[in-house]
Amino acid sequence: MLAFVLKRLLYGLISLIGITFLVFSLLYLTGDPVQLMMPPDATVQEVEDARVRLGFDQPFLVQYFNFVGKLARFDLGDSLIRRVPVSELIKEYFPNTLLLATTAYLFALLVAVPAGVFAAIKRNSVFDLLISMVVLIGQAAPAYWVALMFVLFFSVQLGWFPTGGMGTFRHLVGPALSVGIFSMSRIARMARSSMLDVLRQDYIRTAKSQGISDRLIYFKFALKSAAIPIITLVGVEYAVLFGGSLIAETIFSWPGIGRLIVQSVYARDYPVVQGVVMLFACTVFLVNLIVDLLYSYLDPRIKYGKVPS
Amino acid sequence: MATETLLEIKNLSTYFDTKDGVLKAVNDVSFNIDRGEILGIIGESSAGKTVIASSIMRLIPYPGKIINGEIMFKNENILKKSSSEMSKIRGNEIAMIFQDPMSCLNPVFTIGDQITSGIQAHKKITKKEGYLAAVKALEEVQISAPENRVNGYQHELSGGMKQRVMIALALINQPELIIADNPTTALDSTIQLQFLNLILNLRKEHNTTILYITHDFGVIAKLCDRVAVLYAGEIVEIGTVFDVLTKPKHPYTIGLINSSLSPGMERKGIKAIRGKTPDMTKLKTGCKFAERCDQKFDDCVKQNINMLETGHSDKSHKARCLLHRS
Amino acid sequence: MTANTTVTFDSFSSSTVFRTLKKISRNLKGIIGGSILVIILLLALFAPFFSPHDPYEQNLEKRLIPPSWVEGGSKNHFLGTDQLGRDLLSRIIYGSRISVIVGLSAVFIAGFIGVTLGLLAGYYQGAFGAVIMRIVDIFLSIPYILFAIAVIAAIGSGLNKLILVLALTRWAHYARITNGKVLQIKTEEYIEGAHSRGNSSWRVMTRHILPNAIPPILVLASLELAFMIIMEATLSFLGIGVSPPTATWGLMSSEGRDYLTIAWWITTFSGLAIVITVLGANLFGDWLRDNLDPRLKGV
Repeated sequence: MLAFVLKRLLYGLISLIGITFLVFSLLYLTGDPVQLMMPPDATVQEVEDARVRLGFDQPFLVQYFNFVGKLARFDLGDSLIRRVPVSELIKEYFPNTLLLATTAYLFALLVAVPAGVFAAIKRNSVFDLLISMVVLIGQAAPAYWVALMFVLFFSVQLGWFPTGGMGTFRHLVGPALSVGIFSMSRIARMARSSMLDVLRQDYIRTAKSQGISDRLIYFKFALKSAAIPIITLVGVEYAVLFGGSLIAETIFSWPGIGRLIVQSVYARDYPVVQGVVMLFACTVFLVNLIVDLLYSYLDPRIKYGKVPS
Repeated sequence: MATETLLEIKNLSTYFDTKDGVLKAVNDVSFNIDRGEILGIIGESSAGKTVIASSIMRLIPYPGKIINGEIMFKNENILKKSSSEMSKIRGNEIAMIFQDPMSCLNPVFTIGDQITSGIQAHKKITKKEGYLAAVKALEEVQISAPENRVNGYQHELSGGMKQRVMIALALINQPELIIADNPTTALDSTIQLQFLNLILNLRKEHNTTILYITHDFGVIAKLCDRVAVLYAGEIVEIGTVFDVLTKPKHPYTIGLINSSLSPGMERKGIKAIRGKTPDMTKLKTGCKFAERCDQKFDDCVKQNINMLETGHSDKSHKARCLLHRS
Repeated sequence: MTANTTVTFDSFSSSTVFRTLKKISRNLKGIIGGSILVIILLLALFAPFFSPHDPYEQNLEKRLIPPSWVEGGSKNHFLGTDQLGRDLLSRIIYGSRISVIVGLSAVFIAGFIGVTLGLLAGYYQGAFGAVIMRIVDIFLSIPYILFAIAVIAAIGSGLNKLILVLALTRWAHYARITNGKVLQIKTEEYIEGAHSRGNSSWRVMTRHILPNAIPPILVLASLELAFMIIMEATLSFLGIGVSPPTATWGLMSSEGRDYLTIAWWITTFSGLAIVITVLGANLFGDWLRDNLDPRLKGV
């Protein structure tokens, strides 16, 4: 088990390094990275000064190491527009995004997983068909459209929810739903197919032949095996939820880093963009790591080294 | 000792609604088993033997359905029982040993957990008591170091060991009827012999009734009291083992016996039956074996044939064949 | 009792009408999905033919006319007009062109890169393969929208750049599937046979391995098409995809947002177009997956 955890951490670290390298390299896509890091009205002299000051006259690898070094100290540079350290902005806005993404995530888990599991148990029933239809549409609708339709219908027409801002639980519903719908559909679908798969297995037949009650079979014996692919997907979906929060925050004026990054892209405030991307990447990496470790706990074959991860 | 009919199957038909058509796996099958009797069912692979077993257990996989018939167990029609009533019977009064043990055990639960759950489904015991009972059960099927095995997982076991665990699972609540579906295909011959002795012991000591499914006449000869021969979803012959093996009446049975190898027989003595088994989605009326039979009459394909009594003694020996029209 | 039930089951279930109906219901996903895709493709190809008006023709006197079935609507403009008086239906029909072009191109490019790298990584394995798959893992764990936004922030927006960025975000998925399938195929005997007959590596890869890896790749491609369409729409909605006055569904939703309360039809119908198209692609992809190999769970 320990060997597995260490191996996984090592792989994760390599991935993290890869991500930082990738993000850093993005700077070079246009040719001159310094231009990106300077406000558009900077003079040629200011640009050259910045080049030396920020270390962009150094060889590429040295620059990269400087970058990583600064990262480790949480130094992400300063916002060109707001003239404050990027890390400050992140500290201010990130918790809000976390709140939104986590709520959407919980929605997804608490609604989608049981829905999918029940659809599998009551295969081909009305419930199953209903879920299948909702899932189909949920995966076809872009998050922004869901958000706007929500606003149109529930906020404007019915007046049940506010159209934007943050504050009460009511404010959370619209954004969380828009962010979550896509993921919820995917999760419900996966839960259903995973459960159906497991229910087909010989070992479920054995449990039935032993006279074990249906309830126990579904919720103890089948669910544990079915949970494994569901959890994998759920881990992946967290990343999707994060990305989706971008849209929801923009539409609902939710003060999170999603809205921050979109604004920064418009304003060509590249240090902020870079900082937020790094943050997201690291968060996703962390979540995936936790998921993998959870996975190995559930599946004893991995714990005892029987199945290569 | 007065014989009591434990299981009575009447006109059982089980069909599968597949995308290639309706597969009539079991067609109008009827037979009885008395308490303490060992009945063998023999037939080729797709004859429907396992489907009969699944029908009795009411564990038919999708897209199968029992279309018709009655299954009387201890004088109650279990086809009319609810799901929870059936759960009380399975693993307790009727138990089944499946053919291929490889994926029959849950990979994410310990062996002990699975055995204990089987007991707890019918009796109130603590987890600890369950594990002790599990250890004992594993001992009885001769699994070494059972105290370790109960805490282990199924991927640590060989095929033979898995099958023995399955046997332990089936026997743990001392069921009155055991359905064994080719239980020894995964085992080597010494274990096979032990298993057969185990079965005989069960009958001797607990008067357990056994329905034994196989395609091996040798096993039938050693183990069973009576045997039913299954072809294309129908019983074509049924009688005592002695009668059926020494005086087979149905051409299929004769062909089947001739095509099995038994000790002392030379290889060139085997004669395969010409032709192949019919497509179970396109069965015709009349005798299902007619196309492969050298002794057929015109009447054979006109109408479905009933089981006809051919026995001369007081023991019933029936065959579904017009050769024995009186 | 016996005779009746069996006869009913027999004659009903083997009648040709019933069996055809059953066959249709089994393939419903493919039929509906495929039809939607074909219709969208036709609309894209023959937009001028199907479209009742010029999508760029502005008419400020006819701004914000509601759909024809709503009070105030006009039979001339079935789905109404937008804030510049342009006919919504025509713009939606022309919008399909962008979706089709971006979708197909991005899928093709991403597929080309991904399948090639996956094929090479799977065939040669070793350190080379490991490195490629590590890179694949990295790309797989990056949140897509974020990555697209960051790259566009660096290189600017525009149709071609958009297609490239989209391809860059998703190639890793093709690589992973291809790699897995290649590893699986390699263990099969006919590959050893091909080698022993003196075929060059290149030949073995393209003539023997690749054709057998196609099915899951095709399934992925149809699902990816759906994804690309949503991505393009989302990025255009954010203003960093395709620029006005091009008619793209995402942009139309964005423009409609300012008028959401007074002219709901702009955003609603442009979004609906996306939903239907993506639904079609998803259904078709699902049907492909069901029919090519029931065990394709990794896709």
